[in-house]
Order: sequence, then structure tokens, then C-alpha cells
Amino acid sequence: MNLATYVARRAALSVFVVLGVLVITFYLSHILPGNPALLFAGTNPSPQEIARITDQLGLKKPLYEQFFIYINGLLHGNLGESISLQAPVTALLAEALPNSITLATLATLVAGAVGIPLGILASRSRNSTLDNVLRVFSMGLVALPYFWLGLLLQLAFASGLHIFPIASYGGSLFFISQNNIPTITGSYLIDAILSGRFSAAAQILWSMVLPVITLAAFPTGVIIRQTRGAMLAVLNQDYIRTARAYGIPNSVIERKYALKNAISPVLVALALVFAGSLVGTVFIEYIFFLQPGLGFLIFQATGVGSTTTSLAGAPDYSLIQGVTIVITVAYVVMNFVADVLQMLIDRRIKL
Amino acid sequence: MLADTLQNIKRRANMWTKPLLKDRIFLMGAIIIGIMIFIAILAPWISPYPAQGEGQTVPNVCPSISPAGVCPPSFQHPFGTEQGGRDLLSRIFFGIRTSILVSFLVVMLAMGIGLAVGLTAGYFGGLVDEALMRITDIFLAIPHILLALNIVAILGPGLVDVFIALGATWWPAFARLARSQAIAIRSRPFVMVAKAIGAPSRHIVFKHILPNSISPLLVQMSIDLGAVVLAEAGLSFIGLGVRPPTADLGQMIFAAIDFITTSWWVALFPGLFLTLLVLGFNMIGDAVRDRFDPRLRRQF
Repeated sequence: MNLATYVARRAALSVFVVLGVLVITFYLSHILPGNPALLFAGTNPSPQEIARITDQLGLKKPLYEQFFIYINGLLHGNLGESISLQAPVTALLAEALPNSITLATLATLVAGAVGIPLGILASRSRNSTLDNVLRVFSMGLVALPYFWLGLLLQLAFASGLHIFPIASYGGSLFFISQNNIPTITGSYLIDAILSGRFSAAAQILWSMVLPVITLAAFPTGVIIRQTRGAMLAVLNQDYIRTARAYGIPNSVIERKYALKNAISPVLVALALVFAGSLVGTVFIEYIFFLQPGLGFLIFQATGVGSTTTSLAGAPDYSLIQGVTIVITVAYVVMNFVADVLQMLIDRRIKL
Repeated sequence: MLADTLQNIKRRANMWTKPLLKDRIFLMGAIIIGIMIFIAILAPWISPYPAQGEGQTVPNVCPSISPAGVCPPSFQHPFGTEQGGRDLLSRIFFGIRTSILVSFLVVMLAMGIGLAVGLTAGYFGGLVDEALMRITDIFLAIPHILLALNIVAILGPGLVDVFIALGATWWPAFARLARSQAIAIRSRPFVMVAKAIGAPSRHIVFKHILPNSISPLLVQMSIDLGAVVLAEAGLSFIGLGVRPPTADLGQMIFAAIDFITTSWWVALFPGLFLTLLVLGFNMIGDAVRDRFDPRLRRQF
């Protein structure tokens, strides 16, 4: 099978999966007990009011028809209305995405920059003390709950040592408006750089250090293991043994022969790390009060992070659904990218 | 039939434990989890204040002015107290109980669903296989925590709801494994013979395919336990987990956010135990995988 056919087939599968995810989230939202119209109707609605809203929301139509209306709306960028924030879900997501993507990108870079060298280090002497220490270290990183690590870092470096600001982009809720940072991409850090406000950018980056470390801890552990495994698999092959027999120094073998072949599964893993970090923002952004962001939206949807408590603590389902769809699409896309990457790097893979 | 299956599992288990016991990582994990299970089972008897562990609040006990009954570690309360004056150590013991209970139940539910889907797909093949596996793909594409979050948002928080939500998100990996096992075993001579002499499908699936496919599923189970503990704590942290009077490590850490600048112990200790619990499970899972993943074994 050639590359084009493979990419086309893989893309078709991705589209199918995304459609499936939409079906699942849609049906989940329709087994909600009670009439969703009540949530929109406000306090003490009259029966006529309820009937009107039920009609308006199209809740009387058969389910499959509602689904097509939903998909149609989605294709036109309409994901419904957030009950708790009183705004269209699409607008909220568009506002939240750039900052969350920036966080996830930085975390992925850190995970790669720290994880790959440590993984190579561990593979140099299998089962040595260093290897075992790194094994326990990476396992420890993977076991750390995001939300606890974040709090610990705040405790130590923000409220204890006062090195980093405790929360918010730039260290205060009003930092962005005070510094007149224009909205270009929607990502505060990128916008500050693009508009030439470098000291503000530095301050924003400084305030992102703790969140990014928190977000990167788990994937760093994963990358260490992945790199070590990939390196060992390659180092065990015959051509490496031959190179050794020729007396080529280990450092050259590692760099020129082993790493080239071992890096592809690691790059693939990094693509997935990015998608995973987007999920991680669900925990990070609330702790560090990084607003707006996908994770922050989840907390607002469950009623925890919002100042105006939504009706009787009912979760804001359309908002949760919106965040789920965005992150899942990112997941599916990154999986697709990972597979194609692997295919491009390693053309020996026969399909 | 069941006795046979159990016998089979036992024989396999013996084959496993010997090399594992030489692995230091496995031993460390086993010790941690052993202690944790001990705590989980005996929480009502070994907690200094069992009633507080279950959620009873008490008046402010410490002399200093502290917010909402949060007192620093003292002789009476070695880990201090959390809001409501509850003894933190007792709360942690009961929290571990919740974590372990939920994680084992979830993994078992996931394995049950996975087995049912995977064996059906693998054994019957064809269109059934195609349909079931595509559904599995879809479920596999949604990040665990988000799918669980969606389900809990609808069911409402609570122990049973969290269990259902996580079980419903964790089965795809098991389904894939069970399917590949079923396909591999389906074509083995002894299954062919059983078919040839007219054994019914039910007999073949339960008597031959199930017992022979169970070991990779158990490996998967040990790998997943730590992740399930984390996911459960994560759900509670978001506020969609176990309901408040019940102790839960994730929820305790969330509550600690309010006191992070004044009272370090409220965040530190629950998280420490949560991390240890996950680490213990991960160590066991890691050692088991290293030992039994056929791909890894061949290469190294």
C-alpha cells in the first residue's frame, strides 16, 4: 500500500471515530433525567414557558432528527449555549483554546527535552544502579497526581520561597488588561511576544513555569521509559553488534546508528503527550487560576469554579460536551499525525 | 466449569510468581500495596478517630485561631486536622479504603465488559467483529477522564456512579486483548477438535477460550489499577466523584486548595498517600508487564 492510500484510509478512520464520539456525547446528553428545557427556563417558570422552550429547543422531535440538527449546528460552529456562563459554547472554547494549547505545547517540549536524554542515559547500562534509579524516578513521575504536584509546587516555590507567582497569567488577574496586551492569537504569551511587550511576555512565561512543570511531570516519566525501551530494542540488533565488532566507539554508535532508529517511536509518543497534556489542563488551570482555558471551563461547568452558582448545582452539560469534543478531536488528530509521522520516518513499515 | 477455570488460573499464577519475587521493584510495590490493603480493610479499627474518618465533624479543637477547624499536626492528631476539625490521619485511612474499593471494582467491571465484547468479536469474527471493534475504537479515542466526566455529569456524583462511569470507560483495552486472544486460540488444534466433535459455542468459549485468554487480561488489570486510582481521585477533585461525607483522597486535596497558603498539611498528607498507592500499583504493573509481555521478553 502506498503512502497516499494509507493516509486516506487513516483519515477516513479518524473521521469515523470523531463521528462516533459525537454520537456518544449526544446520546449521553439525551438520557439526562428530567426536561433540559427546565434548565433554560429560569426560576419558577410557567407551564407555557416550559412548553415554549421545549419547542424551541426541538426536544419534541424524534431523536435522530435532533441529532441531525445538532450535527448541522456543529458544522456551522454552534455547540449550544452554556447555561452557567450564559454564552455560546463555541465562543467560550475559542477563547479558551489558545492558552491551553500554549500550556500543552510547552509541557510537551519540556517532556521531550528532559525525558529523551534521561531515557538515553538509562539505556546505556541496562540494570545498573543509574538505570534502576531512573526507573523508580520515572515511575514516581507517572504516579504523581497533577493536582497534588501543582499544589506542592505552589506551597514550596510560590507561598514558601516566593520565587514564582502563585497563580494567574502574569501573576495577577488584571495583568493582561493592565499591560494592554492586544488579542492577536488569543494566547497571552504569544500575543505579548508578537506585540513586542517582551518584559510582559517574560513575566507571563515566569508565571507559567510551575504549571508547565506540573503538566510535564507525567509525560516526562512516560518519555523516559519510551526512549529507554526504544534505545534498548535498537541496541540489541545485529547491525549494532557488527558496528561494535568493528570497534566503533559507543558514543558514535549511540548517536549515529542507534538514536536515528530509536527516535521514531519517541516522536510518536510526544504527539500523544501533547494531546494528553490538553487533558491535563483540566486539573492544572484551576489550581493555578489560568483563565481562560479548557480546564477552567470544566470547573465552571461543574459549578465549582464559577462565581454564580448554576441552577441547583446542575452540571452545565453543553459546556462539558464542548470541551470533550475539542479535546477528543485533538486526540484523534494527534493519533493520526503520530501514525503518519511514524510512516514517514520509518519507511520500512509495511502495511 | 468454574473450578476448572480457577485451577487453571492457579497453575498459571504459580508459574508467574517465582520470577516476579526476584524483582525488587515488584517486591517494593507488593509491600506498599499490601500495607495499603491492610489499611483499607482495617480502617474502622486502626483509625484513631473512626467516626471522623467516616465524616463526623467536631468543634474546633486546637487552641490557636485557625480557619474552619484546621489544626496543625499535634500529639492527638499526628497529621493535623482538616476543615470541620476532622482527624486527617483517619480521613486518609478511609480515603484509601474508597480508592482501593473503587479501583478493584472498576477494573473488574472493565474486564467483564471487555471479555464479553472481545470474546464475542474474536470468536464469531466477520461482521460482528467489525462492528464491535469499531465501537471499541470510538470509546478508546475519548480520554478516560473526559468520558467518565461526561457520564458522571449525567448520573450525578456518588460511589456507584463513579464506579459505573469509570468501568464504562476502561473496558476497550480489555476488549482488544480478549479479541486477539480469542482469535489466536480459535484456530488452535484443541479448539478445532472440540468443534469437530460438535461442542457448542458456549462450551468452547467458556471452557477453552476464556481460561486460555485470561492471563494477558490479568496483566492488563495490574497495569490499569494505578491509572484507575488516579482517575477516581481526579473525578473527585473536579467535584464529580464520591459524595462529601465519604472520605476520598482527591476530594481532600481539592478542599486543601483553600488552605494552601496557611496550612500545608491538609494538602501534603492525602496526596502523599495517594501517590504511594498509585506508585505501588504501577510498580507491580510494571514488573508484571516486563516479565510477561512476550514482545519485551523476546527482545531482551
